[in-house]
Amino acid sequence: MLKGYLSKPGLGSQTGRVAKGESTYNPAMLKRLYIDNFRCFVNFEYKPERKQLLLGANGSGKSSLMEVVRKLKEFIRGGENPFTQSTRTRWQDRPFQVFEIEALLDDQVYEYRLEIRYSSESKLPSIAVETLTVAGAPVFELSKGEIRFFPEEGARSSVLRWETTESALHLAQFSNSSVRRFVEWLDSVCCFSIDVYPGQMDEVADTESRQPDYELDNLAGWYLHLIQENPEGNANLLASLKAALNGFISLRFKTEEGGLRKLLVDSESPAKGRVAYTISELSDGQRKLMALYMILHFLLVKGLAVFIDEPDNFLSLREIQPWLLSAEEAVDDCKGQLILISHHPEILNQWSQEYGLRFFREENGHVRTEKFKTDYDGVLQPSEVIARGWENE
Amino acid sequence: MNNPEPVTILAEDLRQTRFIRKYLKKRIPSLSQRAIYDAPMADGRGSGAQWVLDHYESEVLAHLIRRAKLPDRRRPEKWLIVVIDADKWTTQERLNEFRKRIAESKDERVRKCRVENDNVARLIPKWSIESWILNLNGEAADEDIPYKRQHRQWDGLIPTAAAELHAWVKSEEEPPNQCLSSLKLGILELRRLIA
Repeated sequence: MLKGYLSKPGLGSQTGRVAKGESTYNPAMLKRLYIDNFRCFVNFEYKPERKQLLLGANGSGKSSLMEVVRKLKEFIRGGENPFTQSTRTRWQDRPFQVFEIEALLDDQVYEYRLEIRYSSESKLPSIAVETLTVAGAPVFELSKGEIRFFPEEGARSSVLRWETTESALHLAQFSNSSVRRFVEWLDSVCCFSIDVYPGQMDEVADTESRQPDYELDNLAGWYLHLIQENPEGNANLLASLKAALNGFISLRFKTEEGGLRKLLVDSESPAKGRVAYTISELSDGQRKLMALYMILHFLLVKGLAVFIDEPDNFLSLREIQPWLLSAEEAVDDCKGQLILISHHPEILNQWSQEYGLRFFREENGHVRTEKFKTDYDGVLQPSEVIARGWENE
Repeated sequence: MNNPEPVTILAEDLRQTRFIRKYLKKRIPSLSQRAIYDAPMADGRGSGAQWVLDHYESEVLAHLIRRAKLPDRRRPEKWLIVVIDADKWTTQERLNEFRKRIAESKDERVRKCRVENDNVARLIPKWSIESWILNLNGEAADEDIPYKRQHRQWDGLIPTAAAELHAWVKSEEEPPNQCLSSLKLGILELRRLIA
């Protein structure tokens, strides 16, 4: 049905062309995430698909799953350990937290495992185990207070005494390309909960941002980087925004005093003529649309893995389907991964039957999931089944 | 008494659903708002009655599927309440239309069902729900007069009407003489609902 819709003439021009087959990454995919003893996750396994809709009641763990991905990214990047005592599951008494990531990168299975040990004597947790294997062979290992490096080209592995409260994986990325590949891939996995509240998004770029923030408050700095790195993506972004935003002409930077660059939106209307608006002068919905089409044209077309929490917030009903269909097309063409969290009827009806994964917690216990299914096919829309609370009977 | 959660209401407009919601709250005080679900309604420009007729079969089917999924002990608790104004037709003609939709359904489960035994109530006020609201407020009401477009504070009359309806449904006696004939049939439908 979706393909048929996409093939309708004119839709492409409405939504802006999606640059196809331009993935700068080899096919990559997050295959599995294992979480034990973190918030509401106990012995929890998640196997994401290329396209997935996480749905379920408030408090069922959908956003917490994204939080784990964010924290693991932050942890592996190095620096302060984002995992603390308070992130342990309240009703568990075990001093260990375990996280595992399985990814398919360049047709090889990468498996990362992290065990964090908490003790009552120390506020800081210690890293009990941190390992990375590729196709079953170790490329990095931290356990029992020792790091084992596995250099390439037949060199012998070396061992270093190392007690740590932080990740040590990044230390090995310069001596082992597989470690580097994994660290860079995980860093490219994007999680978004876009905050369009006035003043949250910087409209001035003091520096280029290579990575978008979780809430996209560095939108201007990120865009400054993108227009130089990916002019074609920018052309497609502008085409999409022209279709979606009434009177939109273009985006541009104006240099202010001190060399700061302010992002402006050129717009025109018969009544006012041409007017340049700052980002903060746009509506919340317009800012959200800009953010979503940037994610589409700069991330999804690269074949990256992207999580978005409630992409539909602030959007007019008219705008949800065109963006969703374009995003789906980009994921299909570029072999990326798009995990959405949503309660919106439009998204539920479009995605839940094929890609829906329902999160639930029995008696407020730990999180469980099941493929979304409805016994009301052809009778009630999925959103209707959910609105009635019949999906979990 | 168990709560029939959630009760589904298939109605033409908000006034009908408000009336039924108020009635349900009188009948089962512990019933929360989230235990009552209004099926989607027509957009206000088209015929609300036609919308109800068109969606009647699918709502009955959804109701049957749901009941079949539940263990026996929970089945009686699920209610579907359908409201349609008789308008210029008779109550019997509307009822026949409902029966025809069931009889002509492509789904065997629907064709085989006896809605009378499946906790489905069909309320068919003649001329319209406003006639019932006036009647239940003790005002003179004629089933051949359309009151819908009369300027009255209809929402203000609903609580009394709902409370009176509850009293008449609850009573084991015949409804009082002034009770409109379409309302008498409605009372019988509501008495059939088992919680």
